[in-house]
Amino acid sequence: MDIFAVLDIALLASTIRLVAPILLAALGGLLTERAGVFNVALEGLMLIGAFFAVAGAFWTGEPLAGVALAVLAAALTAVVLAIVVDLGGDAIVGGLAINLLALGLTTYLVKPVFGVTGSYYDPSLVGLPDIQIPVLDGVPVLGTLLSGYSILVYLAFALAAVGQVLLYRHPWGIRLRAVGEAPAAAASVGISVRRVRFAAIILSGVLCGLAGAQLSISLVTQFVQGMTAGRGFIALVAVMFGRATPLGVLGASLLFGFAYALTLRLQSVGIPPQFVAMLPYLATIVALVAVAARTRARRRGAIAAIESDASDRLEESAKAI
Amino acid sequence: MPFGRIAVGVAVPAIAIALALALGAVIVIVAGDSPLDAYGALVHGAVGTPSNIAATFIRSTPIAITGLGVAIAFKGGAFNLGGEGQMIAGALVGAVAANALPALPAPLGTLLAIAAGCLAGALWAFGPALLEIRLGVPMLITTLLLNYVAALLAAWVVTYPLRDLAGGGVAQTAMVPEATWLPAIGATRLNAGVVLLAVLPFIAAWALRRTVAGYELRMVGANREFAEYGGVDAARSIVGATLVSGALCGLAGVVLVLGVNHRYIDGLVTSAGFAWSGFIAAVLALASPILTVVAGVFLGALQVGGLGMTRATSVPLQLVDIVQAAIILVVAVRAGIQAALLKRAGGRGGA
Repeated sequence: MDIFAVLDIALLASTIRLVAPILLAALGGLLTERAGVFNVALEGLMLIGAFFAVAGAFWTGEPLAGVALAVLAAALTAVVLAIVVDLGGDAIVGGLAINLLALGLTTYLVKPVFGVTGSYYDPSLVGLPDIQIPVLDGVPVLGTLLSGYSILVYLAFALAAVGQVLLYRHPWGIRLRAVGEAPAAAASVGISVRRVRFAAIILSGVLCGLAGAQLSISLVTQFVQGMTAGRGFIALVAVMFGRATPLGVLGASLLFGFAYALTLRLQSVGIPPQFVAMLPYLATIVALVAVAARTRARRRGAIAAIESDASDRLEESAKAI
Repeated sequence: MPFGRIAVGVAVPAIAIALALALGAVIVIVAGDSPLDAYGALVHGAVGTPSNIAATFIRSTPIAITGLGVAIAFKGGAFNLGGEGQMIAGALVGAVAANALPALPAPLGTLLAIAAGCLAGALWAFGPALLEIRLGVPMLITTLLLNYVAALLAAWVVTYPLRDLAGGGVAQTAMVPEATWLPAIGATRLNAGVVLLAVLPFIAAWALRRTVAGYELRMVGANREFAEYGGVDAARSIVGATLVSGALCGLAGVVLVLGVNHRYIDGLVTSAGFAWSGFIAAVLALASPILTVVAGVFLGALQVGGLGMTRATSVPLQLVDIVQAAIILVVAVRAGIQAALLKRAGGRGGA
């Protein structure tokens, strides 16, 4: 296998396109993680988004209406999760229930909405247009890399950058982090922990709605039963791998997006499709192991630092005596 | 106050089921059908005739066994979401073993194939368990991601190396020898696998209540630090429970192959959603082994009844999936409410 037949500019462009759904969902996961809620519902929220994006585009003929409907539907579904969490329910069981609900509901709705069963594909369905940036479009390498993506791809990268600023510089971000790190302390200074958590979960729904739309009306223009296929969980790992900072999550998402891009590319060089399709899942597991090893090493490092510090002081006191 | 705990433990799942069925009724009305007709057809489809009852138990068997597997991991505080992958491993390896074994006296081939399936399920769960206790990698995510890997790996096996070329366009293994099939019960369509539903939950309940390993596992699940302080090897306990959990999911797969389909077919496990139904059963039953099996049979009845409902009315089968998901959504809230109730009553949580 010629490695250069696989790696080229088109592969990077494909990565950027494929990274968007993971990055958008991961930014949603970041918000809930920072608010102290382990959000395993990203998968289901994204699936709801994917379905309603196609439904919106199908009903109106306007892909942006699909995006709007996707966001609305996923946010409403997130409200259900927010209520479960608010009532003191189990966020993990509740999140998994949302995933199962999303899978059942979207599969159910394919029939009454599109009049077919299983998956819906219609060549007349209009997806999100790729935006060609004038001037830049004509520049050889940069044009391929930076121009010609859907609005959601640009939005995903912009949100990662804006998120970095909001999280560390804006009162809203500081409040969010306070709620996640020390809810009691946050409450004591008058922050409503419940309200911040509610908002974070609903915003994660909004972002997952966008992620689903990128999946179903930009990367492809169709709805397939269960089409998120674990991307929500991969996004969850991207949050951990990126240490729950927007730019870290961006980096992690790029890695997983690259695994997806490689998947598409390797299919054409004769590796059985089943093995190729495993790549994103295996890459995610490797990333998880790396996160755990890093955490462990850091903890050990911290303990060693404290110990050496303590022994230094002991020596100093010994000398003083 | 044990009575209060039992009442809370049974009442809330019952409320959850009632609310979920009410939600289902609303969906049926919105779709323009009569909920009475739909649920009438559902009940008839599930238990209306001896043949329907047999179908319900055939469907329930893998659900209840995977549910039991998930429940045992729950007892140790571990989230095994890999039931699907472990069941695929058990089903595929069981089918391959049954085909590869030489002709053996009657039950021996069956038992060996079952052992192979259990082992495969346990092995598929072993990696995530080890990563969790050694490195702290959350098993919840690794087991789940490995479901996709298992499905793809099994798809490759039955598409290329072990494809039954006589199967035409279907990716499947060759049919396993008839000598390895689980025997039918009397003249019904039921197979001997259903006996496991009457045996396994009691073995599991006994093991959890009356053995040292079971006691240690419950201690670890209730309070890991306290258990370790008391000298329990929590890591070993969790790995052991996960292996048993994986083996049970593998068993569900191999029982499905030897009892019903007699071969591994691509998508056999995933398309019916057996393992996720098992997960719902375990959550609904709060991981009690006996109640998990009861819940598994209930969900099996709901699904088989759903098929009857789809035939008799225009309501799509996925209504059942929505009702199932709604049930555990309510149960998820219940966990919080119940914890609050028990705290107020001064009782112990968990256990």
